[in-house]
Amino acid sequence: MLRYFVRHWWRVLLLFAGLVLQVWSALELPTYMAEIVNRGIIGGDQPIIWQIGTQMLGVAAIGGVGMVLAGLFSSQISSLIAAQIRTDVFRQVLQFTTPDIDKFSTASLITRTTNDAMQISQSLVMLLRMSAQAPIMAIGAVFKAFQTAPDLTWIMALSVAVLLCVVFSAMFIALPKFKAMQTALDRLNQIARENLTGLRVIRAFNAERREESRFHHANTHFASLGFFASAVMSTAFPLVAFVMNLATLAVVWFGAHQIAESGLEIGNMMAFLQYAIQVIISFMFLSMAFVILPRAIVSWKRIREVLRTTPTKVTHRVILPSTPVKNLPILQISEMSYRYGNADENAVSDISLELFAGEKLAILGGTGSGKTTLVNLIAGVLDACEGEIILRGTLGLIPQKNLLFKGTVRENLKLGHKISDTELQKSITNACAADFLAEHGLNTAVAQNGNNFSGGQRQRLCIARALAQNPNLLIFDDSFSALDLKTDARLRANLAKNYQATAQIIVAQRISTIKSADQIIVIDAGRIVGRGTHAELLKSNQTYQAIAKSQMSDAEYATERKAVR
Amino acid sequence: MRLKNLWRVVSAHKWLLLVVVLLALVSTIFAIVGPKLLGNITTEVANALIKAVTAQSPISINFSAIAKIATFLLTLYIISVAAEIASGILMAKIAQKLTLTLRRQIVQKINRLPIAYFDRHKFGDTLARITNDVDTILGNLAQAFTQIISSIMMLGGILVMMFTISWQLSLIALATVPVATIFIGFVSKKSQKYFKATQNHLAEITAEAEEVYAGHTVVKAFAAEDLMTQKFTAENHRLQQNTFKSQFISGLLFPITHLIGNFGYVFVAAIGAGLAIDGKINIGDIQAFIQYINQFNRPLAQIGQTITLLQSTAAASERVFDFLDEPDEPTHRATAKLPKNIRGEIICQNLVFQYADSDTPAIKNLSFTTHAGQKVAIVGPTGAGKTTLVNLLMRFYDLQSGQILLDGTDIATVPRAEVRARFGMVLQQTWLIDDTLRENLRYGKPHATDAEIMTVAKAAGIEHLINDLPQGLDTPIGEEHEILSSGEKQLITIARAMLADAPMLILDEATSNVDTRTEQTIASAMQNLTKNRTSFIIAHRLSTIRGADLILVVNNGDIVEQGTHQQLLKLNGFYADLYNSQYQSAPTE
Repeated sequence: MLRYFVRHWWRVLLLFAGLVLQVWSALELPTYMAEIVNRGIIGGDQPIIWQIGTQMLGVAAIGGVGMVLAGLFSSQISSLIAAQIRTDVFRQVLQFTTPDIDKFSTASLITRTTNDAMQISQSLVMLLRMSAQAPIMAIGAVFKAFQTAPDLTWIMALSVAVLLCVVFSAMFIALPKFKAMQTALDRLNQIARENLTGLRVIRAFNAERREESRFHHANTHFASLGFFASAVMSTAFPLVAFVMNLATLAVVWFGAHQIAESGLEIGNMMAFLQYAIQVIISFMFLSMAFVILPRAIVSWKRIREVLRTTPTKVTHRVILPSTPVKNLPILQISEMSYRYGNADENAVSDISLELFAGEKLAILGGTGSGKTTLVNLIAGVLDACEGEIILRGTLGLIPQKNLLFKGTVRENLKLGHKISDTELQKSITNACAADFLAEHGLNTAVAQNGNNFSGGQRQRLCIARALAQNPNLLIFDDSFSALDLKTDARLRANLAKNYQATAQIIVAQRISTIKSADQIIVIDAGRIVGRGTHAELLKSNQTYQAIAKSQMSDAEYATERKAVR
Repeated sequence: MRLKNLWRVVSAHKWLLLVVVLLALVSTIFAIVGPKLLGNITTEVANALIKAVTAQSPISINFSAIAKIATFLLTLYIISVAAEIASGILMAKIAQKLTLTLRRQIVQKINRLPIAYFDRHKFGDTLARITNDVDTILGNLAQAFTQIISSIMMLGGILVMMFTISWQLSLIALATVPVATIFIGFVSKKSQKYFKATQNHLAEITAEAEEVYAGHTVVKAFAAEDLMTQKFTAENHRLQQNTFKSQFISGLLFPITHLIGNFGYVFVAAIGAGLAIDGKINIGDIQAFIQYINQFNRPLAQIGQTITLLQSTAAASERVFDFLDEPDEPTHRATAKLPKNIRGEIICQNLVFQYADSDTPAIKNLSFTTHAGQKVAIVGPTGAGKTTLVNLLMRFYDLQSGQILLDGTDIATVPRAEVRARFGMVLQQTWLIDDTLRENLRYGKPHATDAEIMTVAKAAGIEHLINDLPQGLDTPIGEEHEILSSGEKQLITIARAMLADAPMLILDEATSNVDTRTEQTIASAMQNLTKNRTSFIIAHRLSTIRGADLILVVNNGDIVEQGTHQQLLKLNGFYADLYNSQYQSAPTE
């Protein structure tokens, strides 16, 4: 946290200056007041009252300037720090791989980026403006008090000591309870969430009463902790006020004796009274910090958790520059395996394959067979556990979900890379997306998640995006589903004509989509169970035959079989 | 405003509340009188001083008079602090009781609501009502309640005290109020604009983060991190600018009111001093008066604050009471009783059911008959109505028409709990409670002994697992303790159902998402479980149901074929297709 402040050191200094001015003014005013009483009232001098009064207005104005300064810099510092935190978290998340994100969940990362940072900003501004003033005020007031009435200073010292005792013992007793409350609240939430997620099971077992009593236990525990903590707080705050009252009484009582015995001026006594009140009020502000701090600390811890998570490095994938050499594969995967966090089995095992320029490879398998895991490994959002991936050149991925970002079509296609409009236009034409972009072209606005386009249009834009990168390898992850047959055919023709050198991987569930591939890999339970062309597989691979049979009518299947024989 | 509803709950403690109010009154009155009495001491001293100055004699202060006032003041302070502490603690007690009541009512409500309610509402929303909304209501209530009383008292009391001291000074002090109000109004209006803008930009940046985090695969695959960071930073800058402005401008309130207060202070001091010279006012009264002005702004600000608090309280209590006022699962018609020992024969006649948010019925005129002890498999594509059928058997939803007869009794005429007690259920979702393994296993039979548990554990194939765990049955399991794999959790839910020992069974996708090795263990565990029980099995992997006595093939809410595996294959119809296309049909339901 400290390094965030260090970055704004001059703002911190100016904030400090503002606070000092503010305190100085607050402490100076009672001194003038004392003058008015001593020289004006007791001395019976009317003009001097107005003279001093004018000076007081000046002092008050300077104090006002100090406050504005403090307000300006406290809000600047806190908002800048929050912005910095947001950027830091955002950059960190961008470095995460999918398992890193899953560890927190997307929703939680979003709240950490936004709400938690905002919480810190709001707490900081309060702390900087109010609580930071307290120590300065305390030192200044004690100093002034000593100047005005040295023999009464002990009252101030004593009451500050007592106050410290009260505040700290309250904190000492209450803080652990606050922490325990957090845990108890988590438990309460946990049970409530279980009650909701287990609705059916609970009713099936007729366990409603039991769940209620489980909740009741947690609820009672939480409520009694809450009661204790707020009872401590509602004892502490009146006690602080009580100490203040005692102090004022003491000042007046002992002050009167001083006046009678050692010639203390009455105005000085009254000023002293003001100082005592100032000090005590600033202690109240300071103790407010204890109310604000815990929440800010929780938020900061949640943020730190993200910042301290080392992003998983993708070490099993190597990207080399693209090569003109024909016999070097663009994609080379050797004996690669991957297993998710606490799964019992590998999601993909022992995958080996090679893909050369211009080749078309299809990956066929059912839901849950490991196809998407394989794609994510190639794309580098997962890091393989074993084996190696070598990618020579650039990758254009068309994901299963048609993800677009808010902005313009141009922004979405370029994604920050240097690509000319002509090239973008070419990729749009090839992706059959030109017709619906006719009106505004590359400047067409894209709403959040691309919601202003239909599913098919989004898919074509995603394809255009991949093509725009002029990739050496294109991966279609189940991405023909939203296209009608005619567009599908046009797209394939465009790809065959204009992207001859590009290697392609087509991931699919349906055989019809991939029949024409140079090589088909059949994958089941994460393993390659078949490899070859459509004809070869149809002839000899049982899994492939079973899939084919299920997707075709008997007559179709018979013709297909005959054709390959 | 739903504060009326809230009062319904709060009024249970109205006598305690009255005590709180009285105590608050006592402490406020004493707090108001304090400065005036303190001022009297100063006056006593000053008068002696002035007398000494004018008479050129040594000072003689009447300390016995001062002592009297001081003692009285001390007593006031002590009573005041005691009253304040007592009222605070009482209020905390009331808040504690209210929290308990409200939260308990909500959780009980969860269990009484029809399941259909939760099809329409997100869990997060209900959870927020249990935690945040209840917190808001009670946090605010405790604060608002005492504050508004003491603030109003304080305001009135201070005004009275000020006017009794000097009406001239009071008018000067009050003159600052409209000036302050104008400034406050101006600043609030300005800052309101930026607060709104801040909220909008916060929503904007949240959407941005959401998009990028969710589209993380694309960002990585296209190396678009730079662009995304650039866009985020730009939006972040706008947010920061608005946060800064809103905080700064609203922060001006304090210096401005303070400055106006200080100007008032100067005028009071100067004019008061003038009055004092003329002998129209005592010095101690000026001192008291200054203390009063210092306190005057606080209750004003507090009342404003309390009004905002009450607004958010009203919003929160509306959410809580809307939830509590939702209609319960209907219980009428439930008068019949099931015999103690049932055979487990189920007859479904012309079932029709439609989900509230749907245009088409999920179950259309579905009928079938099963015999006691049969193993019945329900198969069909996603959305065919398999799980709906189970939901109807368990009476999680009510039929639109038709009846389900259990051993000849219409289950709609029997209390829901009676019906549910006859079924053991294992779902795909491995729901376990955050408690020990023992409590989880005996969830359906709370008083089961360890010996009974272990017998079942053996049958379910988890005896080894229990013995391998460091604390055995006492091992805490649940979401935070990630010691079990999903297969192991599934086995526990099976053992849980076995121990409950219900005469009928429902297994809804109990083996999906489990690896093949565990599946074998589960299959044999289920073999044990389904022995001699009428059981309904939904499974995607058709291999698991080949041995069923009766297979119901469901499509579009109706049964299209029924029979044994062999019979259905021979038909060469829907089932045969489905069986052959196993590879294609493993979507999750």
